[in-house]
Amino acid sequence: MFNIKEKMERIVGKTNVSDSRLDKLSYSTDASSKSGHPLLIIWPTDREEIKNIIKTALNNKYDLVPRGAGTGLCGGCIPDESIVIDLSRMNHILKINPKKRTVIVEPGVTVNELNNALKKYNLIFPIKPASHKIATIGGMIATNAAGMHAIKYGKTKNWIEEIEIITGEDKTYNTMNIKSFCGSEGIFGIITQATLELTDLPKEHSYFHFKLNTPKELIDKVNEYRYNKNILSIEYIDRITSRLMKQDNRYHLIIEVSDDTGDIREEEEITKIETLREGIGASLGKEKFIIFEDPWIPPKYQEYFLEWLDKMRIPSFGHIGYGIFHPRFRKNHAEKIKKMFILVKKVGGTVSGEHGIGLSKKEYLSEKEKTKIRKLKKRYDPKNIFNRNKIIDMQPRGI
Amino acid sequence: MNNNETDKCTLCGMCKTNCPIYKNYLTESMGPRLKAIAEKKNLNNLTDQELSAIFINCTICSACKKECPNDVDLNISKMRSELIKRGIETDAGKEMIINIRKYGNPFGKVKKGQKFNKLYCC
Ligand SMILES: Cc1cc2nc3c(=O)[nH]c(=O)nc-3n(C[C@H](O)[C@H](O)[C@H](O)COP(=O)(O)OP(=O)(O)OC[C@H]3O[C@@H](n4cnc5c(N)ncnc54)[C@H](O)[C@@H]3O)c2cc1C
Ligand code: SF4
Ligand code: SF4
Repeated sequence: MFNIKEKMERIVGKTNVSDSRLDKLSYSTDASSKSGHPLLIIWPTDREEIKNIIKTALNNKYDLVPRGAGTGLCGGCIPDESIVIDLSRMNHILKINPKKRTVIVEPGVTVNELNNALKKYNLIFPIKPASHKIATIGGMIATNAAGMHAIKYGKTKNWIEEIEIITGEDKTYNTMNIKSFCGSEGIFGIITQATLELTDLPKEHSYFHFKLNTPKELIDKVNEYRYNKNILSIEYIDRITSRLMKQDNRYHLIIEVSDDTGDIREEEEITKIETLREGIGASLGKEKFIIFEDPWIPPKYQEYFLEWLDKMRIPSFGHIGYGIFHPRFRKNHAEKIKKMFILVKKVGGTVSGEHGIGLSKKEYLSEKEKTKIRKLKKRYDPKNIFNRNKIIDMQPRGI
Repeated sequence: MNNNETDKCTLCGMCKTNCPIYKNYLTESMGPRLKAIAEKKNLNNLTDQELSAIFINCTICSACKKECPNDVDLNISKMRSELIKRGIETDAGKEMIINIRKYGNPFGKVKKGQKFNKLYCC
């Protein structure tokens, strides 16, 4: 009899399966500050291998955790004595169709790699999470990622024509049913391919940079610009973060437009403003604000939410034009986080605007949401082998 | 890595972006995030052989530091020096040291006009 490692080795080859201590340690975490225990790590290279891995897992009652770049912030890749499927090596751009403005990719392609390849056609895949240099298309579809340009381009789901997914029923779907699978955080199956829609590469961009004294002034300015057609992003930095960045005690609003109408047009000035934006994490990290949340707040309550964060001394920044805030917390701030999510629910917001539910935010899902997901889970992954206990708690594996 | 650096690291993985070793193997254990995990919480639980595998697989190019959103310096050269102080060294490194001591160069016995028998990479 072969053990599970040997069985998997027969599918993908000996060098593409590991249970070494170092590999297990490497795959015990993602960017969420949670950790777990992988049983095995497998690096498949095509859909046939994935099909056989799923079959073997089903027959032998093991559960699977799909993984892209592991930049997820809600613990979606954390294993629990599970087999981790690292999809980074399925990283081929299969077909660019400049006429139809579509591209077919494998799940391990990163957004940056894709956009570099599309440059010569003057096209882009416009969803740009701050992790775009390394985040994979598979991970972005699974989390329905948004990002800096969400106000103009929306979220990943708006840019998918077709998904190929192999589910826990051991079935392959080539589907336009984007709604069920985009944002499903790997709980139904493994996305093995996707056809993405593309748009024109913006020819130019420029910025406005406003410094404001109060949340009211900030929101008034956001409202002035929110519905302009040429807006690419509206980002803010709160005054606590501004102070930590050795700036002034004011709110900063950075507005990017897809033409040259912004005040900041020269390359040197553009670099300065982009450097300011990119330096946020480092300044907050230095002060140990390393936990990163992502509530979405309806426009009506955004001013109130900013005031509340300020009163609670919670530094924040985010894609305010799209309603996504990034309050940052220290490790011992669990109580503050809880209080914040209670407020988010109260004002009709959602606890996650872009990072997903995973392990971290399960407790905030409503019964209605849970019932809906449970129904889909029973349909697509009836044996509960995929990302067990992520988003919702279900029966143990193999039942 | 001093405590301030470890505290800043969120294990986000952005340091993999331009790591030449990670890009070649596309596996986490060859990239900088494992070095961060090791430095953050596991140094004492790892064997000498494991520590060597983690910190020797690196070109010390600092691309990880450049891409880190939290400005963390993994200080891999320092980690390597510590390992060498504890006698943990690659076979190539050991051979080069013997050659330098014996022949005054890392390549071993070299006759005038003759090519080196072996090139080393540490
Ligand atoms: C510094 C930083 C900045 C970030 N900024 C943003 C931002 O601006 N906007 C945003 O939306 N997110 C952001 N994120 C979060 C994260 O980058 C996104 O969620 C991203 O989409 C995850 O991609 P990944 O390849 O790393 O996926 P992973 O972390 O590897 O996986 C995420 C989830 O998707 C599942 N999954 C991965 N690949 C597949 C597949 N092929 N099939 C099925 N399931 C799969 C996993 O099981 C897991 O549940 C940020 C993260 C960091 C560290
Ligand atoms: S060193 Fe920096 S980039 Fe790498 S995991 Fe830590 S915080 Fe992220
Ligand atoms: S210094 Fe080492 S770990 Fe960092 S990017 Fe270069 S090779 Fe990778």
